[in-house]
Amino acid sequence: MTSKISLRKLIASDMKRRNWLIILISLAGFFIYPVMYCMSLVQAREIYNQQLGAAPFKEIMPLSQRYSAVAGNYFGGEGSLLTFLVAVAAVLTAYTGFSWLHSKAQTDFYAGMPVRRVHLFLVPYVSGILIAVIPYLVCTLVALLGVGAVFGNVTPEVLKVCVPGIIWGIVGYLAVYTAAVLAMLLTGRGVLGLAVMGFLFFYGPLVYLLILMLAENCYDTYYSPGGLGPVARFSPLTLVSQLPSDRVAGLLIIIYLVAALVLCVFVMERRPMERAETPFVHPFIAPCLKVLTGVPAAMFTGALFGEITNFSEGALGWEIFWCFAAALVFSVVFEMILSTDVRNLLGHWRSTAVVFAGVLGLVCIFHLDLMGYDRFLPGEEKIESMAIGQERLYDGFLNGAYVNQDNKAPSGESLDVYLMDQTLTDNFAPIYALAREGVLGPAEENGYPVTVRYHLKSGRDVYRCYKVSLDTVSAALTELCEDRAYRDAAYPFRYLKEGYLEDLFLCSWKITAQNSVEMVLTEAERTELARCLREDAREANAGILLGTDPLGCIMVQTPYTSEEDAVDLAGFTSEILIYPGYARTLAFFRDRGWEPMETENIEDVERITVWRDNDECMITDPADIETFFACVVKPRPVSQRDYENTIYFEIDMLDGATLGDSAAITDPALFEKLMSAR
Amino acid sequence: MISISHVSKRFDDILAVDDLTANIKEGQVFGLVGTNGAGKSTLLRMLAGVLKADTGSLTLDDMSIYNNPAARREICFLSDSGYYFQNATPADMADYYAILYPAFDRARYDGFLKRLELDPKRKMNTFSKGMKKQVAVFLGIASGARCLLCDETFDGLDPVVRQAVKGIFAAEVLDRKFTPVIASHNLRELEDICDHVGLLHKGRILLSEDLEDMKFHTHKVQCVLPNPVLEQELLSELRVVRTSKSGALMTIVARGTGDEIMEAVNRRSPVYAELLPLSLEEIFISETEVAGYDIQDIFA
Repeated sequence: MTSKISLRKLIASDMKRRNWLIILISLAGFFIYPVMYCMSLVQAREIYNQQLGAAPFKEIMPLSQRYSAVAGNYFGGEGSLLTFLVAVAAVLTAYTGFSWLHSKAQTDFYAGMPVRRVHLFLVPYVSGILIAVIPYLVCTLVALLGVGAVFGNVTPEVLKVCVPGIIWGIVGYLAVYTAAVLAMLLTGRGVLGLAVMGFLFFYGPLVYLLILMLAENCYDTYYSPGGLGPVARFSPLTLVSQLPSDRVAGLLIIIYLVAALVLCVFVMERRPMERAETPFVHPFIAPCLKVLTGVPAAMFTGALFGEITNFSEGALGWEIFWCFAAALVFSVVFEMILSTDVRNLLGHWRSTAVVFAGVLGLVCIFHLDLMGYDRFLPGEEKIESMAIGQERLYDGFLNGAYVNQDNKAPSGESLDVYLMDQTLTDNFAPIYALAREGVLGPAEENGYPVTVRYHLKSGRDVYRCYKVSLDTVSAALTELCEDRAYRDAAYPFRYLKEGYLEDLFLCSWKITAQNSVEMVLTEAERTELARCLREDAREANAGILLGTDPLGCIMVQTPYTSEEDAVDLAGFTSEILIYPGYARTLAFFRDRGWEPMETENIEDVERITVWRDNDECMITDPADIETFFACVVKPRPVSQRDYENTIYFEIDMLDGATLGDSAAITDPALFEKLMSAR
Repeated sequence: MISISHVSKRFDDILAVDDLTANIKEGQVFGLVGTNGAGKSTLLRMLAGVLKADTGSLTLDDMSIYNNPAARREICFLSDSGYYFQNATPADMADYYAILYPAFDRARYDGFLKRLELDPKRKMNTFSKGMKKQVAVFLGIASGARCLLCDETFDGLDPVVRQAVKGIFAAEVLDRKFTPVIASHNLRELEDICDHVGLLHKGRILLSEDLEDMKFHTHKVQCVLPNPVLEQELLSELRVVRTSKSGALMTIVARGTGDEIMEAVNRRSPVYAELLPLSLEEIFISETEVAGYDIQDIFA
């Protein structure tokens, strides 16, 4: 009983001594939460009032919704502001609470007191939590309930978003703070305590990024399905920015918190107090840190200098040389910083040797590909299904950005992964043949990048990106698309939202097509058009799509109806391509008076200026103009362009209009003849 | 009783305490002397539970000291560096000690401060080094701990304060089971305070004896004898620890009671003979020489 009472009093006493920190955090919290929250609500109200007068949007977001959005931004948990606050508060509370471990005088004082080691840890640990959490809770609750009540923004919906955000903010703080405390417990000097905090906060993400960079630089077939997504998973600090929406991040941060807390108690119970004012609590930590930081630092330096010398002969040799040179320099600098004694520059040769061994291992794995990453080709009997991710597949339908069913425009990388998820097929012979050419065939420096997903019978997924010939890609896609189920899964029109077709522009797929035609459709017409597009696309043969020029395109301006959409989808335009085989779609538009141009409007062209190899060439003769249009076409979507045969031009029309674009040369011999005559 | 049994402590390559065994009886004012680096502070820090012994055991009344609040509540450690909270006053420090030591006697502490005219509301960072040490000693005594470990605490105290503290210690020893352990590298600092002294050297205890025993059994006599033959006879008869001669005046440190030694001297009809008080330093010089150490090397 006495012990419990003493502990409570000791915590109160510790908090009293660090009252300046409570005041500091309270002041910061007051300005960031109640004051700035109030200002943001006022700003939201002013914007709403302005938009009431002249709304650029079809619908104005209601004021209550704006207030909810502001509350969500402030208390929802996610974002860099909370991460920054958590980091600063955690570092300050951990440093001030445990700096006594780094001073011999203070260690004698505290460790000489009649309390258990675990209580010596718990007193500053708990007070550090209370010092940050109490002001945070007070400030957020005053803002959420007090300021929110003034603006009428305390609704169940708001509380449902904000309360978990606030709670997760506290959990995030606990994890980051405990990691910072662990850093203090592992070290014997304040500066090194801060350095180890930095290590715990940033090492994981940086090493992850380095591995991605090395894999991308070194492997020809490298593909990362996750992209940079998982980078935040490797540090408690970056995990905070993922809370509370990411459940995995929530689970990870709880695991991180528990693990760090157990480690803290373990280290505190066994910490030799004589290590105060020495670098680390145990002699093995320094060499471990040297190896853990030295190997990535050397590899990063090698990659950096490799980039610089990339254009010179023997670039790989230089890169490997820089890796080892950096390993030596880093080892020397590490020892110098640690001992501040030049006589120890080459000390601890064993850890230096491990750094070199680590660098050698990574050089073998990445630069020399000893693990056979680029040669990976499992036997067909080990594969359950495969998928191909290639923008040519959907470029046949769409030109430009792509909207998935979540109403978001994903990056190319996530779109590939998404499509591969949808199109896994056990009839994978065409994909396997393509992969075999990618692995065993001649290197295609200018080949088309194709992502292949192997879903192995073991349950493992392996991704590779091969560069293969255009013919191989076309053949594989054509064969795959003969399977109706595959086509249904792969075609993007099934996600087409009728709402997007409300306000559209139609344009012919011709170089001389000048004006697009706006067409406003009723709800019934939109439904009908979507049906036509889906059915036409389903019947279209992929090989034909890839080898046929479109007749026209439907330009869909994403009809954002709110500020949120306007931010997410600003300037977002999709071009839905219309091919000659789209009978239903073409009939739909013909019924409404639009017919795509069949041929180029050569008669109306006054002059063509062509830029080629930095030379400007002007074509004015009608016969030459006719020849020009005989050997070029409007290029198909980006991925299908043959960049070797592309020219850039400007056309002056007789009506004074100027058209500028690029064109694909279909008859190089004729085009050369035309140009050589200039 | 504090029992130290085969205790060793190593800091990397340095063996600070080497298989040390000693007992500190209750009610003793135990002086721990030794040169810088002898292992005094390390031993006190282990006794206080700050450091964990690599081997051996340290117990207080058969209770292990390390990480045992029950035993450590009976021990208060005043380190040589001394630490006080930033901006703390003597009153603030007393508040903190009162949380940790349930038997903390606030009235007694305030009485000490008043007696030595130390303002309890004055910030301690404005105190002199000596004043801070006084506050430390008063905190230690008022804590109610039975054992007060003082590491170089008396270095720097002026004679008046030292006398006052000595008086307080004496009173405490009489009033309750109080055992101060005072470490110092200065033999003279301890002479008038301690009643038992342990000498540490290179992590080992060279000797540990009651001061009174040492003084009772070892004496110094100065005498002038009529002729060298008698001088040799006297030296043969006494258990001589050390001897020196300046002209005709012979100084002898010998084991035995004062009466025994003077009787041996007087039997040889000395021209002059006087039994002189033996300082702690002289006792140590004598004892360590007997033990085979040259004190000049130890306190060089």
